[in-house]
Amino acid sequence: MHLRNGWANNFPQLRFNIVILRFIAYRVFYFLLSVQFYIIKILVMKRKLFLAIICLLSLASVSDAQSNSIQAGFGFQRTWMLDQQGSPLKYQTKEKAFSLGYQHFGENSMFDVDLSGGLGDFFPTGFFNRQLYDPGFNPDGSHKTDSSLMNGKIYNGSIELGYLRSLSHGYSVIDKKDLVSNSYVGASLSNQLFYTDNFTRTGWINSSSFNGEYYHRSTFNERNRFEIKILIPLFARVTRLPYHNTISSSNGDGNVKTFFKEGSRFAWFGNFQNIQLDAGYQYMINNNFGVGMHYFGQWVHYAREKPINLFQNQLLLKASFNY
Amino acid sequence: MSLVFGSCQKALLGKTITNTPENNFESMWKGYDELYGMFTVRNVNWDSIYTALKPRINKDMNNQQLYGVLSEMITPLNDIHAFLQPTSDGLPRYESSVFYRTNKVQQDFSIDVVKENYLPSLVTIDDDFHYGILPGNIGYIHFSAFGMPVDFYKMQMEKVMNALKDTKGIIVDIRDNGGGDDIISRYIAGLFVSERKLYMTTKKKSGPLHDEFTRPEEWYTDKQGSFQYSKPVELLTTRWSASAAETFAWAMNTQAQVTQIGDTTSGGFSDVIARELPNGWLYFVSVGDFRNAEGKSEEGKGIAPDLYIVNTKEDIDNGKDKVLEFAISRF
Repeated sequence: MHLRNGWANNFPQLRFNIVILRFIAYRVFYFLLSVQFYIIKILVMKRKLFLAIICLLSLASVSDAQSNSIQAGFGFQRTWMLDQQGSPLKYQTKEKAFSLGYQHFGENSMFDVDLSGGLGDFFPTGFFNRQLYDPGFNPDGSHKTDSSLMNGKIYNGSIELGYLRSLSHGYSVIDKKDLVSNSYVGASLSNQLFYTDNFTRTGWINSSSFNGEYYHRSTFNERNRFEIKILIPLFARVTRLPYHNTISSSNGDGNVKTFFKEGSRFAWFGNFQNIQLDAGYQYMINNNFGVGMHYFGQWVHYAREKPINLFQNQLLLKASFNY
Repeated sequence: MSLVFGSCQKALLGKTITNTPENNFESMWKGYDELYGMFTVRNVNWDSIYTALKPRINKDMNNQQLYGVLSEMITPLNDIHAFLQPTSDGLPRYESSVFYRTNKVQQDFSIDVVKENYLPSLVTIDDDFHYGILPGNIGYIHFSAFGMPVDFYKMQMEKVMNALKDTKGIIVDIRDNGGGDDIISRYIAGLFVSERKLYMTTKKKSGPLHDEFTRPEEWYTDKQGSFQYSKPVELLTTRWSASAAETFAWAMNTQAQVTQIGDTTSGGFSDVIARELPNGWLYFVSVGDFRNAEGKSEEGKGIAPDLYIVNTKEDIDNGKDKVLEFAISRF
């Protein structure tokens, strides 16, 4: 892929910034379109699996002595990143984040699905107001001096499906109030994508992983619910840009397909570390509705082609419907 | 609190490079050392540049002085894809290309002259993309960049080629085309393909050593679109036809009905990436080694036309496009 230098017409560099911005906008649009296309393609290909999951969910939701919870959350997210393949600079974000979730609790197991995403500004720490000067020339041959801010955007999304078995169940009375505790341990499949549209392609990473998962929930006095979840990928397929940090295909494949084809590698806990922590408090307004706060944090480390370290904090206001 | 948070961040993210003149110099030198793909092709001894310039770096120098040394660092590369783009102090982009430093603004072509004096019915699809039919039923397509996604070109070129399919020939004008994406140039060339041919072999850096490259990848002219235009095509080029415009010229020149007219192209074929320095400035690095169908590099040389003819500044100022007139006269 060539980044155009911007010489066109008589004063081509005048259009440099507009062309770059338009190029980026189209790229993002088509990238998201392509991602959407591949997700739909995978969904169609794996329709039997998805039908099975839907059947399981349906069965689960009508069984006796079982409960379900649907959650939606909205809040803020901050990500700090040092991706040495893209830049020696540390980057940070200001993002808005959302989350959608479903949990099914059986007598001895639980099943959960989580979808979350974030979108926001992406810039090197200490360089929020960095200027991109017009590289063009005035008719007298002097350099143009106008400039524009050169901050980028980050797009972050993840999906996770988990199945956990009950580890322990506890009941006690504190100050004449009931405390019910449940612990679960199990596994999940997840996919997480970070994509940025900045000049240096900092932070491009996708990971599809098989994870170990621990979940604990305590309900105090029927109204106050605390929960914590820890997730650690054991095996993963991690996709990053190749060493040269470009994408191009000689056989006409699209950039998304080429990115996944050329940049994917098998990884495991020894070379891909990602620790995720989710903790929340929920106040049950009545038997069905609850509101609360959730904290999510994660740390990612992967060494290829050059090391990327990522640390993320998220705070969400969540509402739940329980039945 | 901020101290704890700062320490945590350092532990979780790793150490960053401090913004000092020494570190900026080291970072840029090392960036080219590990990523630049054409030290051999361009016959540049990168170590000697370090030895010559390092003594001039000190912690007290200002940004203007640092800019001077970093500019000198890349000057020997003389590569249109190697340039320094400061993001502070109002400092201008420094081009390592002698041609761009000297010429600054293109003066041998203007799409406005084409529109005003030769093709008033010129259709603008995009600022960088025009087409029309010249007197004498000669098609004309102008690209000043290949920068949009391939789907955009697939959609638009279907319309353009249908509009021009009954012409007796087409002039494809890339005289101010600064480049874009090789996937686009491959696709558009495929609309004019009669025969599948190898037109380019590319390899890109795969490690820090100067000779560490990916396996060579072969690029062929494959047929594209609902039909291929097989009547005569004249491809107009200048020294400003660069990058993906040149890989386009390589692809087009494999076809028997194509004649390249104008000036030699820019001579900068490789993919380019942006990198950053600890002070936030950008520098751009060619990461590939692109060869023509014969396996020869034309980096720094460009693709010579079959028929040489150029406009002067005065021609364009007077509304005259001699190159276009010559191309028209050949049909």
